[in-house]
Amino acid sequence: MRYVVGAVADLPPGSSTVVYPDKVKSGIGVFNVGGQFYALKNTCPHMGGPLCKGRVRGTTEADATDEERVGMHWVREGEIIACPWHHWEFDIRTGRTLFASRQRVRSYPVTIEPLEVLERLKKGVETIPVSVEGATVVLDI
Amino acid sequence: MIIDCAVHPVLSSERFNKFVGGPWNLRQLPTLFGEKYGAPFDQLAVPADEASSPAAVANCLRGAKIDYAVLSPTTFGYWPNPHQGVAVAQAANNMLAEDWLNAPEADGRFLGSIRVPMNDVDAALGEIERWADDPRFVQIVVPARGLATYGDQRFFPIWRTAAERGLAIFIHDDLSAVVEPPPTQVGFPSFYAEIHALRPLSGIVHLTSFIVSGVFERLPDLRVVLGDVSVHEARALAIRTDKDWQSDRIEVPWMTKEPTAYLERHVRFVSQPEDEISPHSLRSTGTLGGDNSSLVIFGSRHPYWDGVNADEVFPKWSGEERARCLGGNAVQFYPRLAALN
Repeated sequence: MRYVVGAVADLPPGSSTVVYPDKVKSGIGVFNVGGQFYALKNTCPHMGGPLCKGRVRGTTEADATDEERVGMHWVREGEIIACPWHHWEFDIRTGRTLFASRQRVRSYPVTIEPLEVLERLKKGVETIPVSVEGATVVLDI
Repeated sequence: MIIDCAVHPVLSSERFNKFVGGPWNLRQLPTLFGEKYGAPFDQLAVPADEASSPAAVANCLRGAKIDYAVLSPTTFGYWPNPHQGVAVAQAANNMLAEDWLNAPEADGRFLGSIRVPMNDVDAALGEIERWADDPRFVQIVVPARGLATYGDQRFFPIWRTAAERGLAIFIHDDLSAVVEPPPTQVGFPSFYAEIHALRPLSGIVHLTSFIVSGVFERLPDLRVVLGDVSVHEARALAIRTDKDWQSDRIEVPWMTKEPTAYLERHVRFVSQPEDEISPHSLRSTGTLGGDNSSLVIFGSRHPYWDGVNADEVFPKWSGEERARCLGGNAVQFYPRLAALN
């Protein structure tokens, strides 16, 4: 089913929101990373924490270019979500952990629909926030 | 094949003074073995003159059917005077090579450990180079009671040289050191029984430091042997580190594997009294962690009273598991032991 999140204008780059469709009671986080939208289940695969309520940030990367010593850089600002419970980090774009692991957050397709599509959706979708006008963020659940 | 990875020849003071030279021998050096916390009994299980006799030790090993013994004399840890520290390390290595490794009675069974002064990394590297071409030296021995954690950047050149030269690192509690911090984070234990039980503490600190500061990640060939930490203590700590690993990774992004993965690849543990965590354990697995029989190497700790004999370790394990601990693991782990086969 399709679920209308809200107006694109209300979710500028760097912002995120959590919506609660009936089908996914724990919620789904919707993120605008540099103009691209991504959606992750609001459940951390570690202990079930409300992942998408965590902090959107960058992360560290090792710098081993000098073999005499190791250094680190701050990279990927705005591309990582850290769970508020235990700070596990996930790539917002993929739902994957930052190093090899079988654990992964479920992700959902997000589309941006123009006004005319929204009108057609109105019949089928679960909810349409009254404020939505213009381009709209829509989830496929 | 039985390889005894922890034999501690006692360097007799009189003879050592000849090796260390002046001015260090002008006054009596502290004895090179023993614990400042005195046990109410002799710490040697054999008469002192036998503990410092290559022929007597060789005879003892022959009786125990030991094929090779890795010798690591204790030299009282850190010496505050860096020049004296260098002199002590050089003298210990010279004496080990001349009196022990070259001893005709040893019949080629003795292998050596290079002592290095840890307060002078350049001198340590010089000392490693002085001996590294001698294939009988299979490891570098460093005191567990250090003045800094061994993952610290300042020590890295020593570990890199060890990895490049195929020398293992043996972290051994020298029982006591000329200078050292309090033996625990909460100060000084009161009794010998306490400090004897707490011996694994320093080794655990260095193990965690090696893993977390990325030394193993940077040196895939580095091999570290812990002389006073049991595989169970280390497993417990590594599992604890694994547990919060995804949270802590941001601070140490050079770590690409779980802490336990580094432990299993890079570290082995000399047999300890608590290895058989239950006297009824029939197998090496199913206690704590994975297959522990592949991580333990036999060390008798001769001539100390709290040592073990090869026929006493893991009496209930399968023959295959015992064989790994008694020889197979060491041959596989120490780069220079592999050449013996």
